[in-house]
Amino acid sequence: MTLVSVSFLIFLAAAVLVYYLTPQKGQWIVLLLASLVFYWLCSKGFLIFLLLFAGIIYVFARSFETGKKKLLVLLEVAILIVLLIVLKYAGWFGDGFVRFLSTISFQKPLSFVAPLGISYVLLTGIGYSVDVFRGTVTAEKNFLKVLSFLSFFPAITQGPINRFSDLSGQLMEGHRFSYEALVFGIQRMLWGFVKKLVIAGRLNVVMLELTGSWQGSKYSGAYVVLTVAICSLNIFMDFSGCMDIVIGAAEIFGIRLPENFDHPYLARSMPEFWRKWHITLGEWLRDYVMFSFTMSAPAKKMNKSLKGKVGRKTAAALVSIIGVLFVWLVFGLWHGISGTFLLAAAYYALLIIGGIVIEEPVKRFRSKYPQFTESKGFQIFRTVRTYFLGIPGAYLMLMPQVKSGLQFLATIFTRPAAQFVVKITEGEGAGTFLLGLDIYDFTVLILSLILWLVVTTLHRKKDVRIRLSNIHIVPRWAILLAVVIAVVLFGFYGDLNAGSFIYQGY
Amino acid sequence: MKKLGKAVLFCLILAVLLAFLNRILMPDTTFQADTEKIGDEVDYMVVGTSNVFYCVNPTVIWNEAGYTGYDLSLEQAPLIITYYQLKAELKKVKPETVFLDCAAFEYNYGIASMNQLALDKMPLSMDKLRLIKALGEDDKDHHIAEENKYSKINYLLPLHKFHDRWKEIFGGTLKSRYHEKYENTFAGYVATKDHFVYQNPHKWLPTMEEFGASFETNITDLNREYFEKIQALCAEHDVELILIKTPSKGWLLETHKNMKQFAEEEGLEFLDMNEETVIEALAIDEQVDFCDSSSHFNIYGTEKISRYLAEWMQTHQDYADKRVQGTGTNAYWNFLYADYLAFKNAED
Amino acid sequence: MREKVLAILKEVNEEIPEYEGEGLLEDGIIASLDVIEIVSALEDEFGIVIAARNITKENFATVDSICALVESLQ
Repeated sequence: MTLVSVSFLIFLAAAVLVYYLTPQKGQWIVLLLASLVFYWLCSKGFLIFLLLFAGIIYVFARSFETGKKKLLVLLEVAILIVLLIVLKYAGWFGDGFVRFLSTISFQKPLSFVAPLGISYVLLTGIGYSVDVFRGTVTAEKNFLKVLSFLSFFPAITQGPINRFSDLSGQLMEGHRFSYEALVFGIQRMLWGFVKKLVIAGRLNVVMLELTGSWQGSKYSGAYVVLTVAICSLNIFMDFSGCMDIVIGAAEIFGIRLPENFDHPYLARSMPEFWRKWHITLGEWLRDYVMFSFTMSAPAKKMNKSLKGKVGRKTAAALVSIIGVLFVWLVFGLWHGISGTFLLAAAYYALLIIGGIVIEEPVKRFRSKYPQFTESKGFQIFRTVRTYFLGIPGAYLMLMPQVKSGLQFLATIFTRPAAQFVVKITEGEGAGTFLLGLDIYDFTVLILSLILWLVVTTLHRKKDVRIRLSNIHIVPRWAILLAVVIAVVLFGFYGDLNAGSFIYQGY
Repeated sequence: MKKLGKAVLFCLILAVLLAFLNRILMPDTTFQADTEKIGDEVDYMVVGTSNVFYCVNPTVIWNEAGYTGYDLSLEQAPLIITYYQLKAELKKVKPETVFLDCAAFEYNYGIASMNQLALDKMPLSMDKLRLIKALGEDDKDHHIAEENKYSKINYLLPLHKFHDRWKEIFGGTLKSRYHEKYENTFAGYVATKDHFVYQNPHKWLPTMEEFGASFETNITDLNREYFEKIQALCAEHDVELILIKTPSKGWLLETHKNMKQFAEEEGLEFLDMNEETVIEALAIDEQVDFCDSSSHFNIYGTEKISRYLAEWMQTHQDYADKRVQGTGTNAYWNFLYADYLAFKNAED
Repeated sequence: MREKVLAILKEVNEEIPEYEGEGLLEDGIIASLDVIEIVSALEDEFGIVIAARNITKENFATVDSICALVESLQ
């Protein structure tokens, strides 16, 4: 059951119905049960591992009330990470182990996959533990409440990464049925379906065509630039579409989840990009990795001794560069133990560190030529530059192998003019094909991208859903019905492989 | 309350729109016999896979012997589907005999895209839901294909599968009625003049070694289960069940022996048209009679097989020759046969 | 005390005193790099220890909230 399946919609409807029929005091139990049932339906016996993770996280958080906290926190993180590696990379431990896990999960060895969302549970759980350790939240005494926080079903598949202080209270307090919340939640989900099923589904076909399904591409040169741009757009539509579905679903229950995207393509610098893209992961890394390091005694000591030698600014820059390296190492490893993720992480780290290094000269330049650097043209330049600096990272993340992926990139230079003009070729069978899509799908892709641009632009100024609620019922219903029908007709679903998300794999 | 009423109205409008889309986008691959016109005076029914609709021509049997019957089959139909199809059919008609195509034992859960055709024809009922459930359930030997697991929603809501046929509307290629292949059908028989020459030079009923490929020749537990259900169903409706295997060069001696033993154990008649005596009597011309494989025949091959079957029925069954008695549906059968002849004699 | 804090903040990043919103850390006016400088300077100036737990978006929302943090740690 993925978030874009009919079965999920039926499941969600049933959960919402039971939720609002239950007195507010008991609603969190309904959510907890729904989360467990959801997990069971998706991952069957792997539910055990969810319970195991939650159990470890609960016990350790309780133990922070006394004793040697620091050692315990490190021990907990180590245990969770080892467990995660064992589950995610079961193949390393031999066929026997995979078969053992398959027995637990009641799944055939062939369809073996790591327990659903366990990476997100890990981040959420570590965040909670560190918060308790730091004393910013108190350890929850009721295990079921911790479990309900960790397993909240809309968010468990791909985040957002929740904070205990933000979510737990909302889960526990109970909510009165609100027609507006229901309608707004459904509308937000609908928009997610447009992004995921109509746009990302087609972008994925284009991406696979351009990269030759990552098996060796017949394209080169300028097409590679296009491929890189398509990869990043594909991740964005896929992932942010999923977030719309997740956040919309939570909204129906009266629960507000943190946003994970905030118009990242308008960012004017790389640090800003990471405050707008996968926001909750960025904040998690900043709060639990970056600050854990830079505020630690050794880091402070280092800063102090460097200050005297190289000056305040440089000392801080050096310490923060080490912090940045930690952050991106964790970022890369969290996505998977593979060269491609480490390369992507190294790429982003390089950009950020580069930014730190040139920060002072840039500041001087800016104060010297304020008219120029504050002009609209320069700001647009910054946005475009950030966009083009940022997008190769998405390509690096998606490519399955370092060597072949980089070889493809290299054809920008080695075979630059090989294919420059978009060529329309006759595909097998019927119809004209453009970048792997027939003319109908291509038209739908272009039209839906235009629609996305219009809606996003409108939404930046004022919530599109409020705009909708202010217009007359006839055009409003016409628009909504048209979007639903468009998703039904133009969505990429119904096939075996459709409906899986990129970020579900991490 | 007012808001709730509005929400219900919205959902209703949406449901109507979706139902409308479902109707225009669902391909109609009807090639089944028109049981309304055939009426309930039916001597036999042949049920099973494509080997049925590419081998048995009921109009020829009518012309030869005056027996009435029809084909009830689906490409690569597994026994699960055959069982539910037959169950629904026996509520409408009462044949004397059901001939069960043994090729169905070669499949377990079938192929989702084919199963879909049978399911789309079934109105919603408890049996349909049971069938959908059965097709998605894994047996202990894991015979199920992945696509079947994920097709439940397609079976239930055809629009889920066929939604992207909107392109065919714009392309002007939407064929709402027939699959091209099923254009000329007569009482469930699919007539074609296509021509195919089988290249492998082995004899009929080859051993696995002679055939040069290995197959599972035993009957799976799943098929045994559904065979027993079919058997019980026939007993309940007082219908005789006969196993039939139409000619096929891919039908192995080993499978034949297994099936023969199985039929003996179950106390059933087993007509295997691949046996040497039958093949000689059929006088199949391997250069002329196949349509797209060695188990599918064009009109020339099917006439031979159907004539043989008519003779076999005359000697083994005691159906009445309805041409002599003259019943209400004679005109329809004469019309069907004339229709078939017209197709056969038409210049391409 | 407020003047001292303001002076430190201004030296690290001139944009901080001009900022009128309520999310210095959240909006990225104070970057992770600045945090190191600010914390180090505040620690030296006021003889306090600022730990990771204190680096929250609430504590680093406005100049006032930073002052309140310093006060609470003294």
